[in-house]
Amino acid sequence: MISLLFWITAATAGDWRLVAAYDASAVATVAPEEPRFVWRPVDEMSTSCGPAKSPDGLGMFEAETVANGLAPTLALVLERTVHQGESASLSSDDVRVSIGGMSTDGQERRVLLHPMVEPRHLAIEIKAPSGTERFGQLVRTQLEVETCLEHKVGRGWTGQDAVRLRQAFMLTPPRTMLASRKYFGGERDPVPALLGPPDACVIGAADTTRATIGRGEGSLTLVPTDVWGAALRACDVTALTGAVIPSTERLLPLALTGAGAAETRTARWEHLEVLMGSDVAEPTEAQVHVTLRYADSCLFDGPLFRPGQKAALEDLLAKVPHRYPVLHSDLADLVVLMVPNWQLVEALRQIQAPDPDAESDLPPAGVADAVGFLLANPEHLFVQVRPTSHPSDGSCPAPDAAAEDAHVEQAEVWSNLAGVMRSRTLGQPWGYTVGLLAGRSSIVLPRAQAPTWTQTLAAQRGTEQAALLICLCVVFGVLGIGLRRVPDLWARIPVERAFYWPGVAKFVPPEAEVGAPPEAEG
Amino acid sequence: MIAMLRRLAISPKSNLDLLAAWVVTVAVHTVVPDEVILARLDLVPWFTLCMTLVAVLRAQPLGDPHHPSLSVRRASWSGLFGRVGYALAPIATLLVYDAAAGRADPWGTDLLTPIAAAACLVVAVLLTIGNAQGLTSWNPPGPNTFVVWTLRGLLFLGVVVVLGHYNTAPVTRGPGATAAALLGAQFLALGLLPDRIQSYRQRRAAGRRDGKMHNPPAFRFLLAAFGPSLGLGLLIVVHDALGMTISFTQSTVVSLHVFAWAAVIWPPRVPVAVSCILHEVVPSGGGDPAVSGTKASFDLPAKGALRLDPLAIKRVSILHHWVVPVQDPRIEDFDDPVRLLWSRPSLPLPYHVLGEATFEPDDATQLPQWDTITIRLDEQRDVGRLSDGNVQTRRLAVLRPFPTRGRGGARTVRTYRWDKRVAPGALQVVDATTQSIELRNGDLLVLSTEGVARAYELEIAAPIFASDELAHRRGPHLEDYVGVS
Repeated sequence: MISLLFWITAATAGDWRLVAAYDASAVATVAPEEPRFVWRPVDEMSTSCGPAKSPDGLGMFEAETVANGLAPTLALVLERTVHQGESASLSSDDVRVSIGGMSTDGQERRVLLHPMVEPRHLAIEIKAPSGTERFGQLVRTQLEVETCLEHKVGRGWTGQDAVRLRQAFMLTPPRTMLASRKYFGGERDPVPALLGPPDACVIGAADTTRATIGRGEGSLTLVPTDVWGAALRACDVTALTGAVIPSTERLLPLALTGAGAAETRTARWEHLEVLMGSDVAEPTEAQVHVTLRYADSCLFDGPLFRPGQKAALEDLLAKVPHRYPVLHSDLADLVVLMVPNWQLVEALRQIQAPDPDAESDLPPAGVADAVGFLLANPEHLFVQVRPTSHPSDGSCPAPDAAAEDAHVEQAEVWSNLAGVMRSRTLGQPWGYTVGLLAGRSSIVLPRAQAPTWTQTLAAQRGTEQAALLICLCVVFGVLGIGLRRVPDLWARIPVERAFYWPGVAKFVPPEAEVGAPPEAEG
Repeated sequence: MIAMLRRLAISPKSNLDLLAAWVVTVAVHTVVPDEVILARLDLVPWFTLCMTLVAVLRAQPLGDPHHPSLSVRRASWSGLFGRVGYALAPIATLLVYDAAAGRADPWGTDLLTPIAAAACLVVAVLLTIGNAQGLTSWNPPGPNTFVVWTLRGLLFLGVVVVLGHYNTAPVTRGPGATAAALLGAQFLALGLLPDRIQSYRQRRAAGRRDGKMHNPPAFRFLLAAFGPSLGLGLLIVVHDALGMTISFTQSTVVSLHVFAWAAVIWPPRVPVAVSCILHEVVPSGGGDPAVSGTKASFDLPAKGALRLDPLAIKRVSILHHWVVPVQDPRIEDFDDPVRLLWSRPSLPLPYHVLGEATFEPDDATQLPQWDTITIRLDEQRDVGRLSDGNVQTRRLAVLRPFPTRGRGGARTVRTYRWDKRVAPGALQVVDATTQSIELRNGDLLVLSTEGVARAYELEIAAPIFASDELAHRRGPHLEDYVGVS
């Protein structure tokens, strides 16, 4: 009954609900479009950071792979149910997309995924008062390296340990990886791919002490100079004023059903302020603290170096959340989460493998297309959104391991929007994926032209839903009549007897069987 | 409680056509493209489509029909054109409404006004052609049909134009007050279009039996005009109060609303009689296993008897037509107190060879039904009769292979000691104490005398709705029911 209720209704958590889940690449083939999206990095970033190189071995950026339908892509469309007049947006802090399941040894495992995100345009300002200049230079170098790596491989920086970071940014291949790294098979952790080239600059003077050569120009693959030659240019007036980026056609186009063409999404320069400070004139590493502000909210306030035996610099860029693409229709604001196939394959493999930390380039058993597998087995999918928006009160969160653990635990109990897809009683795979009340919702495809109705119907399984409804009525009707007449199967039938029924033809045997009459004697 | 449950069960059963139409609309709404006019967010085109289905299935005049003493003309082609005209009327209303609102036509041109005018003209032509269907001969003086229809048309179109003119909301929003009012206007249109001014003149000229003047049934018109509108308006208000956005997804609710109101305004018609057929049948096999010629217990069947199993019979191509009237518990003088012009054409004798046969009202709900025939026996029959010095053994039995369950706690029955007991209602044997028997579709009526039997299978066929139809039918003759001699 609960599953039936889910099938009819739609799962809603707070202000958001899941209105579509489909394979964007498969749906795009229903009405194919000439692929036109080409990754064009920002020229100024290429000048300051060196050439963009795309993920090593693949030969193209993940956004191009998705736009051209070269690999399955799971698309999840979230619709905002409450209209408060303000623009809707979801960041990586508000959404958790994960795959869960039981491992072969009976353990419950959950692997977090990273859907594709909008690129950031950061105007970085580092304020290092007297005495903390050298730490300011450290922070600047860190930010320059990280933003330049985003530019070079088209992937968002989320922070990790060194081994995983090097792998995520293709600096080292997975241990068990074969020569080809196509589709990123065997990569350990998911990384959010960018939907367009990022940009960053530093407010103030450019670092003229850096060498202007050796930024990876001479190699098609990433080399150490790609990292250590990273530098950012000085921000111009446009960046300083937080203006809208004019050339948004660089972004991967996302088109919504019902719209004429892909909506031109706006991008804006955003101010990332790093404020260094210390209570003493000549501070040591432990005495420096930092405040990180981004888009009018404070993200961090605490010591610059993590305490411990081996003090490590705080990864400041990893604390800056990524934003998911938002599209606007007449009725609602929609956020689309696109997860490339390789992340799903790797997550399923980690769930099924006896040792999740063991690396492998082999897909999980029985899974050729992880997106198709997930749509057919949605009980593995978890889409969780923070129930209520959390407007910033201006206070800065202090580094607190206990608070972070509490945040993770809290996120675990967020309502699962994909729960509506789990009803296999009636709707899988013959009906709407996301329930009756959201089944006609618009879909989003990574292309220039709006999805046709045929594509929308295919994504939402509308035809199957219509057939299901008719068939259900027939089945229920037949069942109702049949169940009512089940006792007739063993009912005793009354009979009536008579010696003669007029109208019954007399049986006349064929002549051959009659035989000749016996001859009379005598 | 039982009556309430029976009433709940009867309602969907008698409105199966509207229920099926709603299921079809629910299935269709999933595949309607967003860009077509049907999926417009104000849901007006959608409920117009539903009204078109209602027109095909149910549209009847809201006013009183022709004088019941008169015979109506049957013109099938004309009736078909008229029905098409009813079906197109809601669409013409929509076009007028949109034209008044200044919208473009579905093809994106600015020709909506001439298209709407042409649609109204087509509807008028179709209704004119369809006028021959249901025509009666008596045309007493009174309000002129042309004048009344012109005034009605202008008034109705004026209302629709005003509704469209004041509908300034874009179609990208859910339905508003004017859309709800338009629904009522469409219901009213479907009730007015089949209405005849001639019928009003006839009833006014005939007067009422109590001597008062005939008055049109204003309540029905008011209910059709305002009931669905207020209901839809209430739905919109509740939806808005819940903070939900109305989209085409809610079209299933709106279509359910339309079909539910159609069932209220045009309830299923009750037939005056039902055509039934008695098929002569014979056993297709059987015969009790013969016991030896020696003495046997009474627990064993008699030697040589032929057995009639209701599930093993064959028809012998002889059938008898039988028209059985449906009893309506309503008081006719109260429902339609028009003074009759002459005595009614007599209904066919509802007599079976056994006695009076009618579809009596359901004993629990007191609603008319045409599933079960009740025969009130005209005499107390016994298994034996002594006449002219001969003793004649007769037997009348009704066999029902699968009786209706849940009818009280009657005991199981059997005929002979060697028979196994059967469920209550499976076997009705007429004897000296029997006062009535019930027949349902598929029952076998077995008449036997002195071991010679005839059997008839009952088929309850098409209902007859108009009393005057019965006048053209051949009445039942006693010879039709072959007596067993």
